[in-house]
Amino acid sequence: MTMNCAEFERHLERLMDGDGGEPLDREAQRHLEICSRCRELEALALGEPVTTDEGADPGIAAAIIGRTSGPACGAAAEHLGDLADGRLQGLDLDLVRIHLAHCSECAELAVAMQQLARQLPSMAEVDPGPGFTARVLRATSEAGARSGSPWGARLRWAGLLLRPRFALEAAYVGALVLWLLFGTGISPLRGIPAQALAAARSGGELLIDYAQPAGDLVRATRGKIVAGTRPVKADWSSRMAGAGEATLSLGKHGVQAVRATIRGDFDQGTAHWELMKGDLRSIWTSLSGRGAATGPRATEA
Amino acid sequence: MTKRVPGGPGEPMDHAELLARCRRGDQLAWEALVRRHQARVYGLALHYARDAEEARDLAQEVFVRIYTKLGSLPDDGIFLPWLLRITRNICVDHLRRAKVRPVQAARTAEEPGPDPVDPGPTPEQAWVAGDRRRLVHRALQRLSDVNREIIMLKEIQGLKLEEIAALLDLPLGTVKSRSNRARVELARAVIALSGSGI
Repeated sequence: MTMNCAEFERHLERLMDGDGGEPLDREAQRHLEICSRCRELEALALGEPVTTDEGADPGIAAAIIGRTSGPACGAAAEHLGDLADGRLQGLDLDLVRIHLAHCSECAELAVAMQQLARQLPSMAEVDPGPGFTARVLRATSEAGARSGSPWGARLRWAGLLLRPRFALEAAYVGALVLWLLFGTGISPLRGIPAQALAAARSGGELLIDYAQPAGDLVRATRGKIVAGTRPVKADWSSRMAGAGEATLSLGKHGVQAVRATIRGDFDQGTAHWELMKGDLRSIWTSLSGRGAATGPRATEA
Repeated sequence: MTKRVPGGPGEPMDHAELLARCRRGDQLAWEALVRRHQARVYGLALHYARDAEEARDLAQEVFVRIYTKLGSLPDDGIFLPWLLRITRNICVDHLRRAKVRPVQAARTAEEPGPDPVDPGPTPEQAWVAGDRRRLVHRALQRLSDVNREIIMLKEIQGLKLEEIAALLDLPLGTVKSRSNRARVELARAVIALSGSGI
């Protein structure tokens, strides 16, 4: 802790008793750099010759400085930070000490800055209180679960959308896009608003004018589609009819072939298998439209 | 960088190893990291927040951000400045959203002020330390926003001038000169508030 004069006096007593330790000596030294009174006291205590300014008129120096450069407090203040940190050395240190020895205001400032230099770092850490760690661990655990889930990105977007600023910015961008599309002389859709306004003002008649040809177009297109698909539908109908008959025959011949095979009548079974082959050919022919649909083969067992 | 874990076994914990374990999803390592830095983050957040509960919310948000962004830390050696930068940015963003200045003078008048982490003071020393801490808090409120922030980041949190310049987007020379003026300004405020110095 940076010393004040009362503490220095107590230190001096301990020093004279041989109880002063090194850290106290360092602090005492720093105090002596800025306090001429205690320098004199130390010199007296240690039996050293004392040099003071008591013989000089203190007003003379102040008057001279006042008429020339002005007070040097501003210049001294620029060095007080380095003095507090122990970085001031050499001639700068001597000059600042001389000023502090004759300027009580700056000396008080220097002491305050030295004390702050020691105090402020101790304010870096503050106990947040009980339960804070558990609270953080809970929050980070939830954050970890969210970031790994497929809903994580959606939740983040949802959070973004709920911010008023996002809505304002989105509205601004939307208005800008609409202006670019409709509102300038070179916009690609610049005529649309005028047409829409005219249609609205016409009381619906303009809409009918636009709707009539559109309706005619739809009807004509529908007619073409129906006309074009009619022969295709007819063709497919006939093909499906032929294939249907052959399929029924295939089923019948299949049952007979299986029964014959079970009975052990392999000749009969083979004959029915051949009929089934004919049925399959008929189905293929009907569906592919490569020939007239053929019915079941004439020969049956 | 090594630091002894308070109350733990005799071996100091390597910070780089701690960060590596956190990246691998070690929950114990993450808890240790939180406990190591929560006082510092909360201490900085207190300077921006209107009250202690708001500071806790901000500090929690900082750690959630750290948790998700730990993989993007370029160098473990700059973890502390990175942590403080994130803390400061979150606090400033919060202030912008709230659009109010931190009213810490009222808080320090109502609450006795949380104690520093340093253990072991006598009751008299603790009272004196608490009283001085409140005095300094009040003096800080008399500074301009930029000067107060420079004091918080440099004198209290220990960031370097270069780091503060990057964080505040100011030239290095500006930060240096402002830092000197801010210290003098703070000392004058302390003297004025105490009446007869500290």
